[in-house]
Amino acid sequence: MKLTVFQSDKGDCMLLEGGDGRRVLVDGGMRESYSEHVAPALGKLRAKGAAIDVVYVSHIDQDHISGVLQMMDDEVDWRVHDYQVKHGNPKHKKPGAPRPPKVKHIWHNAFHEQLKRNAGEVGDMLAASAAILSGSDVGEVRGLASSQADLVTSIAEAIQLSRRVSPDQLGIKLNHPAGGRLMMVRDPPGAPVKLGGMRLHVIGPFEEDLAELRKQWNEWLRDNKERLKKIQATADDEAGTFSVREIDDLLLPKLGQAKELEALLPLDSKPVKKLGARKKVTVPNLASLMFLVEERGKTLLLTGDGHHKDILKGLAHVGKLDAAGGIHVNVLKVQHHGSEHNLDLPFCQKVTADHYVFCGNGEHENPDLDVIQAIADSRIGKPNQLSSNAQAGNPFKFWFNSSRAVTPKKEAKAHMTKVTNLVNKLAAKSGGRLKSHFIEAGPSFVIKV
Amino acid sequence: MPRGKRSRPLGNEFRKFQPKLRMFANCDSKVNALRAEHAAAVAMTETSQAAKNVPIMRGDDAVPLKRGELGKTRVGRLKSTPSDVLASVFIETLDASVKGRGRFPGQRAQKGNLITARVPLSQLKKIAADENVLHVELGDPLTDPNPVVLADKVSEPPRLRFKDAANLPDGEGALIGIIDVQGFDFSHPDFLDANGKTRFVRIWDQGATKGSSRPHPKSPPGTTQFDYGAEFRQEHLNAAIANSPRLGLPPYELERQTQMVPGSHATHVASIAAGNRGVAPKAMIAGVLVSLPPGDLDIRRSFYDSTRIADAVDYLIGLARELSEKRRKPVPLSINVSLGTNGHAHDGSSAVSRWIDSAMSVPGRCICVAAGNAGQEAAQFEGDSGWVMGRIHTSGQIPARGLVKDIEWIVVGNGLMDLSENELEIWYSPQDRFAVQVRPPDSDEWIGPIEPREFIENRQLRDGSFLSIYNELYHPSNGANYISIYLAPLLSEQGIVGIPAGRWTVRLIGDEVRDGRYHGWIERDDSRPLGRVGPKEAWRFPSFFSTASNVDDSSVSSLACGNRVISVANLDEPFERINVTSSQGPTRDNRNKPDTAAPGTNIVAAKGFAGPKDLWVKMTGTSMASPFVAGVAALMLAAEPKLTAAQIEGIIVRTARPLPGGGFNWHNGAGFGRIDPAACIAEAKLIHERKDRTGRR
Repeated sequence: MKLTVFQSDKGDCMLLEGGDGRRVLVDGGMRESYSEHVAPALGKLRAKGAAIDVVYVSHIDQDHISGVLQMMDDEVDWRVHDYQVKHGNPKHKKPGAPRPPKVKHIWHNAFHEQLKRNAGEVGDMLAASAAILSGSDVGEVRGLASSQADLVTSIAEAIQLSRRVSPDQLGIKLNHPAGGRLMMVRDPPGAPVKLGGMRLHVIGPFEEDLAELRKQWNEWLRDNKERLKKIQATADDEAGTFSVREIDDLLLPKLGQAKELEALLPLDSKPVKKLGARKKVTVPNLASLMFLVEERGKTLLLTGDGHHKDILKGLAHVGKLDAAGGIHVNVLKVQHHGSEHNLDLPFCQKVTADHYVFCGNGEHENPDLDVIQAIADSRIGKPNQLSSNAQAGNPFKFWFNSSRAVTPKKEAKAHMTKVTNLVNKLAAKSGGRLKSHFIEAGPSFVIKV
Repeated sequence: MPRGKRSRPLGNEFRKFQPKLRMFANCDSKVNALRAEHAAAVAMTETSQAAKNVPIMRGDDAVPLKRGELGKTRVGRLKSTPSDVLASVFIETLDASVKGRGRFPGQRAQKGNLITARVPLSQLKKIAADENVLHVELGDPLTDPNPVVLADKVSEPPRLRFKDAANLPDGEGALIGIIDVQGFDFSHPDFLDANGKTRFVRIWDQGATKGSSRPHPKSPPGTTQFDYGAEFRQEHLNAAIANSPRLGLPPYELERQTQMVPGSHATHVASIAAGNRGVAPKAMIAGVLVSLPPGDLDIRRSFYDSTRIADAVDYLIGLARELSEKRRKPVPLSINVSLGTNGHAHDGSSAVSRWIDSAMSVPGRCICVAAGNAGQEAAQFEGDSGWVMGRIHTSGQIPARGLVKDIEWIVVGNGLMDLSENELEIWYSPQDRFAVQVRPPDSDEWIGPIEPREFIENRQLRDGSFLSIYNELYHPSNGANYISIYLAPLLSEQGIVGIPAGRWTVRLIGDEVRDGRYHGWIERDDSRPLGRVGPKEAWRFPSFFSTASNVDDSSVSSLACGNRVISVANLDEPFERINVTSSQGPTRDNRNKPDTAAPGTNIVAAKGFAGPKDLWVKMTGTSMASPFVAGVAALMLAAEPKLTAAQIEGIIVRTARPLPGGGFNWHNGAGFGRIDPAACIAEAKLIHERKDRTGRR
């Protein structure tokens, strides 16, 4: 198998090619990163007459879905251009982006499919609460507001994508292995999806987890509808008499309301030191669609923004863990841009890889330094930290789809510098077993297994 | 940003310019590149370096300036007015007979003694030097329509949505022109005829750039009036409908407008006036899409001011004429504008109002304008913040010389940053002389007094933001005196400072008082988050009057105050009352606007661009009421194509039915009452009926 990992801003975007040329695009990154780094490569594929068998969107977050939306928009632009030129408008401008290859299938668990009838209301509520929270004087609360606002955008993009691929538009077949319904782990596990020589085992999400998530959203909706109204109403009452202080109240719930505010959040907002706190992972991330891919004895683990507990549960369910509960894969796409909430040391000991792929450009301090450290510890750390997998003593490589040279923002650069320093330090004491690669220039790197 | 006082390349030509235009001209390109992001009548040229290079100063990395850093931002004297900044203006000339293309730089069109032009600021001096120029004013910013979109799931409305529609004619032969935003979903089933073809005869998308879709429309000979945007003709639209299934794209994707918003305002409005389930189901439809560009950089390069409405009106008139020639019979035109402007004197004297008056002086034409949704001054239910939009008008009377009146003007802030330029205009009688003082929030220092014929321009306040005050006598268009106050954020490349939040106090001092009455309006910004500047959320936010200063009448949009427009209020039909959000009259010069009320509450009509399974949406606002009346006007014109706009207004006023509890006298919320379509048409048909009684004794 061949995995091309593109620069994708703070998101994920990879192209997986099987030995017989079947292709899966794994997420699309952001719109801009797609246009700059991915579109030219895909344009070359089209020129060769190649197609993409599956576009797989792990979950709805913007840094995974928007690039895919850009790709669909590019295709539409080309169809429109051809049409306009043919229908009496020869001066119609050629689209700026290269035309992407034909896409045969898309795998994507749309938010509104997961939530059924309450999807619209959850979206509206999120928008309303994000608007209130964004005015807070507390940095933490504002951060959560912006993550809610991001989610609102993501939900909208998921809806756009569903419309784009629908039968009355591009007509790309959705979730064909699941008969058009949600892609999830079945009990007993269904046969893996065959794509040429590749076998793709769904390892997440589980049906019961999706049900639990739906329940959480609905409870959040029920609990906070009244609360949100109350906050707005208090503010408006006071607005009647009108002083400047009261205007503040209207738009900015006071510090005293922080408790109320926290309850508005579907997440636990308390800071946690420990690695791998599942409570801190957002609902859409926990719903990530994840796969174990096999071809001719080689293995690749695609994890989206999922959580390690769910990954292990899924691997166990499809019978891929050994007696000791471990697995060694050729490639592990480290989950959630290497965030501290999605992985702990025991996971690193159980799941080892020859190639660890980190997608993240230093924003939100991802990849997290403690995560890099934990993975390294499971391979070259103290005896009690080491993995007991048979291959744990092999050489291994850390791959990063960004670097301090290419990431644009100041704070992200600073973080990528820390990452580089840590990785260099670890490599130095690994006795030549740990190698690393950062994208210092160009759009991508390739791993062949 | 220049420190105002020292740098004023545009100086003595002052008396010919609206103060705001002068204030703009006396800032450099960089400042104007940032200003062009929110100022409707300012845009950067295609080639402007500043438009390209001045960063959008927002995002987590952007830094709001601290007080100690202000020094960094002061740049030196401005030597000349910038040439890469264009202003969209109306030029009023003394002699209407002086014609000819290119008399003024950037000239686009002429109506009577009014000329529209897009002028580089550097050319203003030259225009002012022209003896034939009386006055130059910026186009007024258009405000976003702000109807309430209701989330309830709605099913297809009944074919005869309007109670008495069964007995009404169908508008065959008339043209309904919709000037609006967010895109026309021409292939929505509500606009398809029995053969599946669209009833849209033309769409002019004013926002399209060259080559992005169809070519722009043809301008009238000798002008460049319509040389922008894209024109979609009926054959384009129908070919797109025919080819859509084969290409796997909806028809609107094949003929793309620059705005195609799911649940589009324009589509909803068009559906009410002229949809198959609307008021005039057989009328032809033409749409003009006013540009409201999506991205900041696009906004820098485009206009969305009232000159665009003037162009749109002329375009529709030209189209009606073309169709008349083709069909060899008169095609009358009924126009709807569910957009508004808040600037100017609210007495019909603004340039665009006079442009429209002139256009409507010819029979067979009519125009309806939404009164506006600024009627509400207090919250109506839990969680309601509609009142923010309602507190835009103040008025009062200074009883005698030496006395003062304070106006409290609230700018929202604290954690939020207001990056708009807030603007307050106070109009008073030419008999009087007022001086004015301004006190910023949390300050005990008054700025001023500024006496009549005095001004301060771009004075930097201690916090870094800017204040301008102009105290002017005898406005050229209505002779009234006026005071303009502008609060502007600091927009420097080194950083941004928003307008200080809180209560600004404006004190009017009676120097000489004979009448003493005054009216003030806030030039409304529509609230819109602009993104983060460091830790603060930046907004374009509506400022408003405090409860003490707000006066709950005369909030009708200034565009709806025109002499020859029919101004429409929002009737909540099941309750037989005016919706609380509907703007109230009268105009500043005490004319009766709104004229009438029509159903505008919980109106189900076409939902555009949302796919074949999601076809209908419910909205509330005067935006929904106005197209009802435009539809009725089309029915009247179809029955009697030679009616004038004034006659149509007269018939509507005569036949309107008072609401319960009301009388036949005009009411500032409902006008003369709710429209009676059947009576309007019956009366229209009688317009030429005369009985000669000379012989009878």
